[in-house]
Amino acid sequence: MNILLTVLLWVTYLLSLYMTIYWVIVFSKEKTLIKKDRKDKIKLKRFPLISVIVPAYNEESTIIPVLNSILELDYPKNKLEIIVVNDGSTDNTKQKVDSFIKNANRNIKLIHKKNQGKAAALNTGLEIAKGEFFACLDADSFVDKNTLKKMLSLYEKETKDLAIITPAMKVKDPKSFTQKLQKLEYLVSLFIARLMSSIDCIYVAPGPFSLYRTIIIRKLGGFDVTTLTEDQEIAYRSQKHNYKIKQCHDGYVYTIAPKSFRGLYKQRNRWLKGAIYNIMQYRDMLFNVKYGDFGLMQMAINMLAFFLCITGLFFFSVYILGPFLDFIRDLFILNFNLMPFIQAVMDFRFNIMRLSVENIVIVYFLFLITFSVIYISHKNANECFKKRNIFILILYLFVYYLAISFIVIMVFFEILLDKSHLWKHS
Amino acid sequence: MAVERKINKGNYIIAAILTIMVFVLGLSLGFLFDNLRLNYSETINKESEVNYLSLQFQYLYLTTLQNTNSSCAVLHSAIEKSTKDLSESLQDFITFKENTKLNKKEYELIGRRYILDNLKYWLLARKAKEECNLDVVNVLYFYSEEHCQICPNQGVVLTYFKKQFGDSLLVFPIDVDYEEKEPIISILLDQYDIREYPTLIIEDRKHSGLIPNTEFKELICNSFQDEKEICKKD
Repeated sequence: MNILLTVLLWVTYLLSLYMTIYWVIVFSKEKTLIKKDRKDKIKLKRFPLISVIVPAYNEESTIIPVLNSILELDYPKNKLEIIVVNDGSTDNTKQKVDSFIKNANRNIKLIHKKNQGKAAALNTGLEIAKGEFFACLDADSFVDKNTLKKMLSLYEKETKDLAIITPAMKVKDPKSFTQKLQKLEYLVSLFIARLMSSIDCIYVAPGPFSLYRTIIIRKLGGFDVTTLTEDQEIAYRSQKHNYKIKQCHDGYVYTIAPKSFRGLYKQRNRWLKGAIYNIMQYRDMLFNVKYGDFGLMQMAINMLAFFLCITGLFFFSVYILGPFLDFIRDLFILNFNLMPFIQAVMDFRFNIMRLSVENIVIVYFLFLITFSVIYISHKNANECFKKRNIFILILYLFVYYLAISFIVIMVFFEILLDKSHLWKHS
Repeated sequence: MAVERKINKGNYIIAAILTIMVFVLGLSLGFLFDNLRLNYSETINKESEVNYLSLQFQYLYLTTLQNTNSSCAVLHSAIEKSTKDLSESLQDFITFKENTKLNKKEYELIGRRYILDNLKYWLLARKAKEECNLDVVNVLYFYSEEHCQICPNQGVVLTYFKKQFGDSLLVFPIDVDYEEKEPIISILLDQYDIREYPTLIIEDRKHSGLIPNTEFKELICNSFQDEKEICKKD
């Protein structure tokens, strides 16, 4: 049993170390990474027509601010069309949008459909969209006014097979602990996505304001209405057809993150389950050199992430939870007399010989890289790390991923109970 | 789209090389430390040998020449200190033995020496108690490192009361996992008819099974001739 544990631990170390060092190398090649943001105005060669699709289901409280943020985009008014898709709302969404359209005097359409979910709503909008490029904006997200121009300048620089440009997502006004943890998480994801973008390995096109090239998405057949996570599925499909996906690292979009753990649980349950289904659906691409670094490595990493969550939880139970439960048991034996333990702590002689050096070297290395990543993620997103966030950082490093791992376990159980979606083919 | 996607082979290879380098660094340091620990344990063992010789001589002096109160006190406190040092280094030793990779055989030998040392001190403590008429309690503690789930609990109780009773209580732990390698263990198990663990031999009386807090304190207190300070409380 001990041998199994040791082997598992070292396999986990090796894989984590390899993955981490790989990204360090990708980072070292992306030399332009920490250059200052473009302070001068973006000059576009031309202004193509842009469609913004807003799927709305019972969003009466947030639909107007969202529409306003779209209207405030720094872009010629006559080159922007907004399509609000009322996905069978039962509240006052329709009335609010109608009166907004009357007063705004801009190119805004409102179409109604039966409630069939976000992907279907997007496809409905896509049918009538006239723009050369289109984006979608959820009712809980707000786009920065310079983002559209930044994304278009990226389209101008790249080749015609660039299908999707992903935004730089940040959490809007985090207040609760859960939201602050997510803010940190999004900053790190933002940075990692930038690295992935440089080797064409992006595997998710975030819902809020990803900018799609209309002709390519239509060719691919629009969004998949049967999947749990259509934003990830469209990215996998683009990768499968060898289209490019790039990130606009300073194209900011602000989204409202779930406040409570329960909300987070629901969101991540859907994301993680969808992720597993997507990986299974596109399993042909795994380790397949035909799909470049994405097939060879990114898909493996996506799978590995789940493996690491489970082993992480396992090691937590063995090395931390186990001894803690032993401590509780010892307290029972001693009739809850804490004195022996306090005495043991006071008597503790630090003997350097007792340190397990191999473990320390590897863990030190991983921690070093983790802290560097967090520092660089802040710089990358033009955020400064405030000292009062130290507590959040500690929670993030030691507690957050345990919580996510717990959600992963639940997802695994749910999938095992209902295997029907697992074998769907792409 | 029939696009030829390239893979960045260089990245994978460099990453693999760096990973192996870090890994090898960790392993090398690990082996280095393993040998350092072994040397350290062996030095402690040698120290213990010399301490024992010194104690043997003190006892010999006591029985052959003078039998004053002060030499008894000195002998007794020397035994107590040696036993304490032994049990402290035993804790380190157990950790080292768990983590060793190449030196299993050497650690087994050291483990046997710990058992023999503890038994030697136990015998010496008994003789000293008789000779000097000391009011102390000697406890021989049989446990199994690998096959006894609740032994660590007994260990916690013993450690606690060792501190509480100070030099009035001496505990000598014997790991019966060494039974095949160290014959004296079989002899003792037979003599006291020991079948389960943990088992305490308190002044020749056998107590099997886990003895928690209050029962243990009672047992020890009842074994003294005069009532001790600590036994008066609650």
